Amino acid sequence: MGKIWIIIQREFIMGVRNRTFIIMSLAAPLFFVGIILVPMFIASQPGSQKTVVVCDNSGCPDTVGYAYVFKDTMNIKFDYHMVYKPIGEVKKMYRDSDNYFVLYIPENFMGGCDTVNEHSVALSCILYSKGEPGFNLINHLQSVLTTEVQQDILGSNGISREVMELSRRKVSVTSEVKGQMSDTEIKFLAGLIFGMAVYIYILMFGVRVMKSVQEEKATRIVEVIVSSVRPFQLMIGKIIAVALVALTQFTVWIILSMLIVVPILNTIDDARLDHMKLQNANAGTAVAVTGSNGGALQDIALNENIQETMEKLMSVPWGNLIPAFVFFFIFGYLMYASIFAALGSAADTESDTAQFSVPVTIPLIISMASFAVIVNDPDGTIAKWLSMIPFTSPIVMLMRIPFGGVHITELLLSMGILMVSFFFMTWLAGRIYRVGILMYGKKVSWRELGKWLFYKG
Amino acid sequence: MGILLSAQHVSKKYSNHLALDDVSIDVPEGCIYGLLGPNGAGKTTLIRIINQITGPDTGKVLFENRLLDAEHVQQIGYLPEERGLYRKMEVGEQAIYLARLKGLSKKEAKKRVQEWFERFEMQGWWKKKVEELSKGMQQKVQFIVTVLHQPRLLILDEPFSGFDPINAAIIKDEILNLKKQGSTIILSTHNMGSVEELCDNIALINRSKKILDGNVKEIRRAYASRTYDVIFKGSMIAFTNSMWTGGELISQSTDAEGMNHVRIKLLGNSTPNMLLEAVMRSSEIHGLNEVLPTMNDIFIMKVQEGNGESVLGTRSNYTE
Repeated sequence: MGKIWIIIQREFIMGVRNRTFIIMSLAAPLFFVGIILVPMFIASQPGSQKTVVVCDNSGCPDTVGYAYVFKDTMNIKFDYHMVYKPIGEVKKMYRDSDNYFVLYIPENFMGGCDTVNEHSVALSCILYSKGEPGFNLINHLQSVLTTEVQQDILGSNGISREVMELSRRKVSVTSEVKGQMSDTEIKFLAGLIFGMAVYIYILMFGVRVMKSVQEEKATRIVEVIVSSVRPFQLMIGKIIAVALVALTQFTVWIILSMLIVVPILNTIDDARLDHMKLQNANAGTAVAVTGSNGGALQDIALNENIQETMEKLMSVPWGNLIPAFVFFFIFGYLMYASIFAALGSAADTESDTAQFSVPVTIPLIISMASFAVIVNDPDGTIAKWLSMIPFTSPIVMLMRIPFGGVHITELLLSMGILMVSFFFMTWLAGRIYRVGILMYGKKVSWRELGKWLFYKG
Repeated sequence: MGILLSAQHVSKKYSNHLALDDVSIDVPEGCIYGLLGPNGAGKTTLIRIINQITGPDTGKVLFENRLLDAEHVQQIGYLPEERGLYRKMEVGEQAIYLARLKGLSKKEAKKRVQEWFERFEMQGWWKKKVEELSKGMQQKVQFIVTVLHQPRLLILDEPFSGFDPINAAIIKDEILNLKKQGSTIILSTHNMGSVEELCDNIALINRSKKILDGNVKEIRRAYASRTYDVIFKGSMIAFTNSMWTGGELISQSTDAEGMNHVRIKLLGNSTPNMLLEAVMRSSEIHGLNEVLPTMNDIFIMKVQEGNGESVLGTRSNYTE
């Protein structure tokens, strides 16, 4: 045990001192956090204030037209002081102003006053400006106008606003399994995340074990080492050390992500809060009274929402999932890592490893590929079999558990099979490994590997 | 002198060939023991068995009359023919790591590495990565790593390959030094010159069998073909005329100072004295030396014999 410990120390230190490790540890969280947060952050920023000067020529002298349907938003201010002026005059006035946009609603928008007869005229407005208006601004204008036009058309055909609001209501199907609120989406996500984590972990670090073994063989240091320790000790020490390196990396990722995410989330929240305050201030004192009521109502709605989410979350059997995750994670990795170590020992050069590693990764890929089948029928025949076979069970079982249909005996059986397979595969791998690391210049086939199993110590 | 290591009737078979066939060797304590043989003869397999890297199919290996076990790892140092170090690891910490695997404590390992680094004047290398060193420098590091834990038995597989003559001489001195300090050394090599110079005993392995072993001097004596070099002043014709039927002239030459050198093989029961008596009358004798066969000669002869070739056959195929 003492020597395994020395080996673990070395492998671990070399692993975490490695440049790739350091870069991966630092860059990966930045990258992922960046992908998720940067757009959120940017979207939440007030950005440059844009002012849209509305010029509505659509209203006939006796109607209001569409001018006043726009309300100020965080980034867009609407200016009505020239609303009924001729467009030529307005354009001239703002020709050279940055950040000013002139929205022109033409006379024949909605067919002018003859709303019934001239529908063939295109419903289109024009936005004049010096600079690019940007996607969001155009989008906003379009959606506000579309809604208004729809309401007008429906209203002019005798349908009231209330009826319209009612017609927009959404229907949702919630499911209740054994008297418990259930949410398939969350289960789906939990299955995907946990399955994926094991998949990535095994593949990434299994291959790392293989490369490390291969490198030891290629540099011939291995002969010196095995004159001091048993080959099996070296193999196990390496596998454990790589696992620890992986865990360290995950820990660094989690901590770094926290350090990055929390401040950014705070900024986003602040921005939202500011915006809300602004709105309240704009609304004036009269609204403030109802506003506070509205706030309370909102709070209640929020609480209900949280409660519902919690209930949905609790529909995932975490009590089974977390321990199972830890178990399958560890033993799945250990089993695959020992196979990868054996393959690394058989290869003379790095390119030789590819030939062997492909067949070994197939069960892993099958596990991930069968995700669609499993989430559709988490207790079906395919799902059950794949969650028993030790090469696929570490991933597939974790996809199944969130759906709650896995009986505890089934889970224990699968764990037992994996455990036994782990011992068996490690023993097998050890036998190949001890021959492989000292075998040079031989083109190794699967048959040859089989023969090595029976070599005497 | 007791026997430190004894391999007894060791056989090892790989799937399609017999690597060692009933090989026994006894390595006396404190000697340098040469393990000779053509490539592929089975030397490396025997060395790996002694290092417990692999086990024998039959037979046993005793270290001080005890069966080899994990404890003995600390008492053996091994320099494989194919050298190797972790390329990305710093020299100092690598040496310490390998010494710790041999059972030294971290502190002790560090102390000894420093001592050796001073001795070889390589203090500045401590923080260097192995890949930054030249091949010769790497070999030095490897040698230090092998002897660092002061093993009682050192197994050196082709220790001089990869060294320039100056460094090879340094290593040779170190080997002799270690012997003086009481280490026993098994030297596996093709370099017959170094065998004659360094080895006390040898074993010759060919085609997985041991075909010869014993003390180097005794072996050379045993294979002596009663050949003598005579140095004399005087007429070569008079000398040859005085030769009698008990000797055969093999070669002759005259050096720049006018000295004649002849090589004579004695025949039948004749003795060196009879040779002297015969030639003394005609020439002024300056020297008489017995010519012993070199280990190289014996090696080639034995290997060719073993391969079923005639001794006179010009070249044997000993790079199978």
